[in-house]
Amino acid sequence: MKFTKLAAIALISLGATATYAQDSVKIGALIPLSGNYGFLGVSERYGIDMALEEINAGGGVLGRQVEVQYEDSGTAAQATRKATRMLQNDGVDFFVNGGGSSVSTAMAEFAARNKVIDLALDPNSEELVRGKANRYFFLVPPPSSMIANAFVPEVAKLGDSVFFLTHDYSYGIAQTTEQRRVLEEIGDVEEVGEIRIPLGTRDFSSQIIAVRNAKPDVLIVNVAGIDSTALLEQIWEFGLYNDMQVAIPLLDFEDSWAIGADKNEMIALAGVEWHYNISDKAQAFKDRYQEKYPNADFPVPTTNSVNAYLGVRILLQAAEAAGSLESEAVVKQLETMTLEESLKMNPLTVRAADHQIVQDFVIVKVKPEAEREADYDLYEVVTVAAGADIVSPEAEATADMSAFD
Amino acid sequence: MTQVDTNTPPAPARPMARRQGAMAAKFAALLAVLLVLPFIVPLIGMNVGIASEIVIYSLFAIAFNILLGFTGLPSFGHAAFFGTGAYMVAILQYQGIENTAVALLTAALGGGIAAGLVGVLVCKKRGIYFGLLTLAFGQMFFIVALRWDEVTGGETGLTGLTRSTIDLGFAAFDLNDQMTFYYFVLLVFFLSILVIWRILSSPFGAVLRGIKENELRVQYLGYPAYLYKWAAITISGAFSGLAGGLFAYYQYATYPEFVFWVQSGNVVVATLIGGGLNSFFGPILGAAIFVGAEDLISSYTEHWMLFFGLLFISVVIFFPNGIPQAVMRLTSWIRGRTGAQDADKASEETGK
Repeated sequence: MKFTKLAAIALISLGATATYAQDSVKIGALIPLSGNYGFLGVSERYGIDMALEEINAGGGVLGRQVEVQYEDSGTAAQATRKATRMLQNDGVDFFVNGGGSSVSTAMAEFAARNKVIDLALDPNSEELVRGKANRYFFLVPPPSSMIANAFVPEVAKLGDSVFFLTHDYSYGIAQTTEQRRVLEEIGDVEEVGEIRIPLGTRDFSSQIIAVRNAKPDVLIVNVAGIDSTALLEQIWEFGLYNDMQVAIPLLDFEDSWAIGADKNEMIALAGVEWHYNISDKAQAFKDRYQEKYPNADFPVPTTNSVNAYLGVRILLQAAEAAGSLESEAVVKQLETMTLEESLKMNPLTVRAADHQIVQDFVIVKVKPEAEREADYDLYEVVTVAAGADIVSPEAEATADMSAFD
Repeated sequence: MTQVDTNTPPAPARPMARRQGAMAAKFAALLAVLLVLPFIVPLIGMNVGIASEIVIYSLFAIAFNILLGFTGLPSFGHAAFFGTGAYMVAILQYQGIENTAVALLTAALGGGIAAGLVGVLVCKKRGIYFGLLTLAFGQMFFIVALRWDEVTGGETGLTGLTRSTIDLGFAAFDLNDQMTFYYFVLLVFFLSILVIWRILSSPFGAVLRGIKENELRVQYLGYPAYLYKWAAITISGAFSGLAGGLFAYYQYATYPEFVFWVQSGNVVVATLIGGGLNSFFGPILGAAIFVGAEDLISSYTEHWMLFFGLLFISVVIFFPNGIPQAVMRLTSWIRGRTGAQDADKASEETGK
């Protein structure tokens, strides 16, 4: 008796999800909602919501509305477990994920095994377009090689010698390795030293003294997360920026906002994935964001919002073009996709060989205080490197992008 | 904690056969529940795969509880041994060794050796010193997993593992099938906890329990307590490694976070929720609640951490012996409200 009741409930709920899935297109978003990266998840959510609002206002995809199911990405193991449930029980059609390179690696693995599309919204890991790349996985942000190709030529204009501060784990090491490669290609800039910074370092005085003694023209900082905020604070305290130019290949607006407007003065050159001054579309996106989220933690869209927006837009545009939600058809469309609404200068394109998204990269420098129009107006654009010029050579893409079995 | 009443003579020991019979019945009941678990989880909106995770986590928690519940050693670095097992399976597979049995035995061996090495350095410590040292050693393993890119794959771990097909001649079992994998995991789990129970109910296990109650007295009785502690750490590490190996297969991958201190903390929480401090089977319930509640709550609300935290805090404050104690209190309270006067009295006694 009890069993039949339970079975009936189960059947009804199964039926309910089945009909629901037919009514709308469903995106499963595994983004960080707790823990260290929780604040990034909020930004990602803004971007996803803005993309969906636009698309649904324009009639949705394949004549159907699009909805998103948010879940906390947590750890890699938690993320794939939740993704399995969302795929098999909740009828999710596509996935996007945040939570850094470890969650993204796990989701890439999940995507390949289940033949379902996943787009990673926030890691810059080179590995994700090399060894870990696969047919069903796409990396939205630029990987380390693209950043290095855009940034290092600008560094070379600042001086003749560089010193690296490298975060001592996969991300930091990949950044420095790629930048060193470009340095060697350029040829006339000398590397005078490198110090590896262990994860979780809070006191950088010994490293800063070593850097000062090495007397480089340019200090390149490849340190991420909270460690990087602490490092920048101490570079400021020690006045290191008076002796050399401080260059940050990948600077998140979150970090510059955290250290405060005055301390940003020390940053001679920085790479950012996006800036609202690079095009009219970018400006319009910023205005829309400010109107929609007047109380957001960050007064301008951060890279994480932009990447989330772009990821969802390109995915759904591909589904529309494919005329289907079926993974294989959408992958084929994505591989030839060009997104005109790129929020950058040039349209975004997807490279079929390794599923990295070819995109512009922005180099900025600090804006003098007198010229700032608002408290968040910290940088002026030095140059925008076009995606086609900075993407790694296609011949280097060695990942197996064939169907998984 | 058990209270020792020195005034009343000890109760006559139950006949061995009867005790074993009761235990056998408990094992049989557990097996029966776990056999149907994959059919129960879909009914509450969860995925079948989670059943495997619950069972693997149960093995980890029971292995961990050899130290916490039975020897009284609070280890806060057990993810190191779990992770070592997981990396063993992955590294072997990257070297081309795909045999499941070999891989899992190596995982257990790796976990055991890692625990044995750490054990040499911590086996003379107890209490908070033991806890802090194991925490520190655990983080050492994490840094190695994160930094030794050539072997461990660094931050992004080792992915793309395969589960093989076990061919027994008369039948072949493809572990890629969720159900087959679950029953394979269940088999390994059940054999493991039988062995763990056998170890804990031996004279060796009695010494461990003695160490929990009063280490000094055990030493005065002539037992080299630190050697027993070392052996307990090693055995616990070996079974944790085995659980880690299964987890690598479950995830088709190994990540540094398997070795992270948070993982060490999770197993402590799961064990405590289940009432592992004075129960052999408690950690299984704890693991089921820990894994299940997290998945279930997070599918309803993004603020799952809040509810999860409240659950844990209320268990620790109100029911230090875990959910089973809460259930017992609840049933005696219900009986007290509905039953006759004598039932009321009985419930008051059990309430104490």
